Amino acid sequence: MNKLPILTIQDLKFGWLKSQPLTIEIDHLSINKGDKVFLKGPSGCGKSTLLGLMTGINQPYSGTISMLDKELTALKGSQKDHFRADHLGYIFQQFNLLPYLSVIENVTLPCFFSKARKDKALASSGSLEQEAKRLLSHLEIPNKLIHRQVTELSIGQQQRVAAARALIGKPEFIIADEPTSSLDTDARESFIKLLFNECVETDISLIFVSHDASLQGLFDHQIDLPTLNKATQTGA
Amino acid sequence: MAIAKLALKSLYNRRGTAILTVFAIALSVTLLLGVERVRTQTKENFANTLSGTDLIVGARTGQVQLLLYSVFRIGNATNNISWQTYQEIANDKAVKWSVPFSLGDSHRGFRVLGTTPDYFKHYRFGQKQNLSFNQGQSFDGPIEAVLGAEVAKKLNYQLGQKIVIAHGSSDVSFTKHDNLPFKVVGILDPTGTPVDRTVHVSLAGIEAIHFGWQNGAPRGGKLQAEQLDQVTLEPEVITAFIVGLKSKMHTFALQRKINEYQQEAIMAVLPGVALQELWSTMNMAENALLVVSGFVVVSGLLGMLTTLLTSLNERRREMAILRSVGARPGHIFSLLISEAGVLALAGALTGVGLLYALILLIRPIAMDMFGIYVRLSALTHYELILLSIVVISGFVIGLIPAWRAYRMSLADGMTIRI
Repeated sequence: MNKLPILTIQDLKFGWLKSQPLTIEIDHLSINKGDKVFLKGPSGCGKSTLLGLMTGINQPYSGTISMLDKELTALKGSQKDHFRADHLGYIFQQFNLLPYLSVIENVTLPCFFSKARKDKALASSGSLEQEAKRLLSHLEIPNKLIHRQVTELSIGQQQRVAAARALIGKPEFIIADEPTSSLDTDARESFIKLLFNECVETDISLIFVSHDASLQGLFDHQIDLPTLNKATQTGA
Repeated sequence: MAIAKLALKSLYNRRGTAILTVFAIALSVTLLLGVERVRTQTKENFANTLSGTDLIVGARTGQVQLLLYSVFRIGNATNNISWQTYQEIANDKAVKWSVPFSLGDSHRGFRVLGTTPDYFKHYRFGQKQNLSFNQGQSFDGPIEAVLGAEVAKKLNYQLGQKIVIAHGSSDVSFTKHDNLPFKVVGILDPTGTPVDRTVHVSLAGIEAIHFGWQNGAPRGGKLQAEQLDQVTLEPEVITAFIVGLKSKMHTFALQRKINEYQQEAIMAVLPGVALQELWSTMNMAENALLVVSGFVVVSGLLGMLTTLLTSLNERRREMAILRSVGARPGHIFSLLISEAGVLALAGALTGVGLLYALILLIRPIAMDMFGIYVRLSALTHYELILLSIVVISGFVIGLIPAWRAYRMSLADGMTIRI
């Protein structure tokens, strides 16, 4: 395969307090461009902490995290902020949307903070609103909903709007932190399929975090964090 | 300007508390500007009442008191001046003109001023403006009256109407000079000074209604209108008089001469100097009011600080979402600052709106009850400075929640903590 690694983790060590045992200790992890990775593990095994490290919010004790050939751990705070804004989409577990913005405004929000994503969105559809509409229709949000208040949408619809927001401007990487845990089984699968379609279409790498092992069959790769993380045996 | 737009939309989402905060700031701003307005406009009103007069002469008393009772018709005279003394000083070679005032009677709550037709020629107000007649002309005969604009308007008097003057200056009087009703022969244009609330009659008229009186009480028969030409109506005493000099150079010389006058205890004051003394006695109260309203503004802004700080915890999710879509901590910082700024600005603008609404509401009442003419003028330079201090303080106070949010968003990152 000609796939290039998009994220590489090497000898990573992290703990919240110096006096406490380590929370994360990972020798090696590599994710290739376009991969759809399922990161599983029970709560407390360090999933959120690892995501914090991948997004550059948490700073490791030692080791390196490189993303898109950039040494993330060597960047300064504001450089990390810019890097994240340009290359990363993020979906939370729930309540992803700002209640005071309309659906369209929520989706186009990343383009106000990243010129790169704005340019890509404009290149794709000519206007931010058009691009948002395109993504929303791909994610099967009915056209009549797009100027509504987000609070009028169902949870499943809200999560798909959040996905559209993560996808706009084609970031290289999307991190979805338990995005389906508030959805029922049918909605779960359809959400994942729609998200996959978009990721494949634009060659976006996806890290999908969940404790729900029943979903893992849908993904190319599975990472079992408790096995990977050598620190888990000693504590949370 | 995406951040300002976000701030506005976020505020609109929390409009209940936002409106209360704006209102609290607005009220404090209204109070601050209102106190400032009342302060300057009262001074202006006082300063505008008398113009072009060099000396005010009356019985010996405090100079502020003489100014108040003679020109502003506030309070009563302690003593009178004899007509002879007046004549002597009026004929001094330094004196260009003089107008005698005789006070002590009233008509339905309005003061009656006994004077001479010279009053309409020499009395000046504002920027050396002369009195002008809206209708009719100056009194000529002893039982004719000229009304101030407000007297005519409030009592709905026309030319030719007969009015009865009551003894004493209170609203309700038991002694009425109903033997000699006065005929209205002139109505003055409005001036925004106590002149508007004055009924002007001749000195002879004052003398006629008190004919046969001794020591301030009626003795013997009352004079009737047809007897007027049978008696001499030379006044014995007047209350005060105002003097214009041929040259300002003589002001202090004449003042000293009057103050050292041997035959009678009289004094002369310079209107400007007396006003200054009045201001200095009012200064303490003025400053106290300004300080109090300043503190009210501070408490209004502290209220805003409290609301912003308490809302921060509820808004951690909002911050985390913004961070996840690429907002940097600096964006979160400016979001909070713009919120505080928007609240302070909206508060200041609403406050100005309230001030003008209040002025419109109070104008007729202030005119009716205190005779204070409240001008509806644009914001002064000083008021604009006060306003900008309020808005800038709002921004500065916004630094506190902004800094907290900044720290929080650095620590929380994109993890959502409730």
